[in-house]
Amino acid sequence: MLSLFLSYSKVLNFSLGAYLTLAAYLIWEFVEYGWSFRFWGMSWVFFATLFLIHWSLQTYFPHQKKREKVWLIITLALSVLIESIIGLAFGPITINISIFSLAWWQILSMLFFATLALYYFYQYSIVGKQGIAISENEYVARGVGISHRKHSLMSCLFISVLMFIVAGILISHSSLKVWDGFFYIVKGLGIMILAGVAKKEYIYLAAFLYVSLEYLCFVLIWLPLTYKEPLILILILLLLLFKPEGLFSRTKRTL
Amino acid sequence: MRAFILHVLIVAIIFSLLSSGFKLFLKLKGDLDFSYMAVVIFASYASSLLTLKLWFGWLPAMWISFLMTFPFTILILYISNKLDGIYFMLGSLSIYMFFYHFSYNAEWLTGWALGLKNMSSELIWSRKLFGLEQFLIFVMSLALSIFVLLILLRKTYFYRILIARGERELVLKTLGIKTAPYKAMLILLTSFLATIGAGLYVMYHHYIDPSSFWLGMLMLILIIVFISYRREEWGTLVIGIGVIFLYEYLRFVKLVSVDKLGYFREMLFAILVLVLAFIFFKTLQEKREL
Repeated sequence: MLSLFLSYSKVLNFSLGAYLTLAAYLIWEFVEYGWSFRFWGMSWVFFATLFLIHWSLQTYFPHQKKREKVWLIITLALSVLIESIIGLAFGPITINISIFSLAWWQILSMLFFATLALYYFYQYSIVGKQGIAISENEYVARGVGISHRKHSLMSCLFISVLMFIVAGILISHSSLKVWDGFFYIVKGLGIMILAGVAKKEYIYLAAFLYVSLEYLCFVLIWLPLTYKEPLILILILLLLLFKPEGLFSRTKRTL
Repeated sequence: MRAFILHVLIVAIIFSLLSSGFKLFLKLKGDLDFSYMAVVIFASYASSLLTLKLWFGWLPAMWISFLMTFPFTILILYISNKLDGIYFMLGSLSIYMFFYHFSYNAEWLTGWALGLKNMSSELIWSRKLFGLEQFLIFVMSLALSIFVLLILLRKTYFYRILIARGERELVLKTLGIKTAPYKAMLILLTSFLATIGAGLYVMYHHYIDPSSFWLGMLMLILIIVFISYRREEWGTLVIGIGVIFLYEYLRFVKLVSVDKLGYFREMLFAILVLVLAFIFFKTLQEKREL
């Protein structure tokens, strides 16, 4: 899901992993303690930072090319900020909501609907189409009157919904720690590069290939499980160096 | 109080040296090179292992570590030739994170999360540094010599060539002029600064673990680089002292419990990076094409 989102928006947003973690902690807080003060406080952090930072970025750096580098730094810092706020509010606890443990078909159908929502948003909704237009060529999009600032805010709203769905699925069958979000987004990024930035339809195949590679390395060859994160990092580096266009793109792409 | 001031000064000088290397690449090439942090991690572990396992003094361990960073120079050079702009940053970030994880996972070499400890303060041939005062004098004289060399370098023709090649690399490539040798020299220079900074960090703390090199350290370096970007080395030093003083002083602010102090400091410094990045890139965008 993260890869698909990154692929559609064509933006390297490292803070998405932290927002995923925050959404998971909010769900957990709500399930455990209901409408607590902490729940409201952290919800405010979620929406205020998401909207404020993205709005400021669009306002202060209106040109796409100039925004790229600052975006990377800002989203990295935002990721650290969100995760440290989670740490401050919840402490170094590991969360899961096993009372809602879902069957595999329930998880798959939720993922299917979330993918469908993402697909519909970008392919058929006006806001989604505008988003693709902006990411393809911002100058032309602005020339025909598409407001990138308005789109950015709508996009934030959509990210929020998506994050809560994915976070719900994640903690219903697995556990999550404060700093886990960052590695989810790195994995998402790796899979996006593996498929090829422009090849959204191959994202699931790329994810399947990556999981198979993990299975081969850590189950069949018995590599230590701790090398799971370095694997995706090596993959990203090798792909950027030798096949930047991704596995499924036929057009040669230079960086 | 006296010990605290000495501690702040020592750590500030070490971070100013580390920031100088990071800033040099940003100034001359226009890109943020995160693999610099990988060099810092590698050099820290290399010099620690050399002093712990082979009983080398700091000086020979530092030079051997520098020689051992040569493969990095080749790797970073290769990456910077193949990738540009945001993709170079992403590639270098991958290298940094890979080495961070490797320092965690190669427990037979790096001692896992527990890290390596009891590194000696021996400089060379059983000459040791005793006390914070001696250490400060040593670090200060080393930093001053390096800063003077960097200021002298800035006045040379070679430095102007480095700027020119970094600014208009594509134009030079189109004209058939090779940029790789100059880029290699720049990377070697930054690796040297990273190795010295890392070596001093190890010798001062007598202890390293992987978490010392995670995003917290990067945030501190970025803050110093962003604020001191337009200043000379002395400016970097003064700003380094200010930033490290704030960072260390937060230990005594009893706003949160001790177990959450790390999160609190990271939160404040992440906010600082966010604000500074906005200002830094905005002014940079107006002054220079990135």
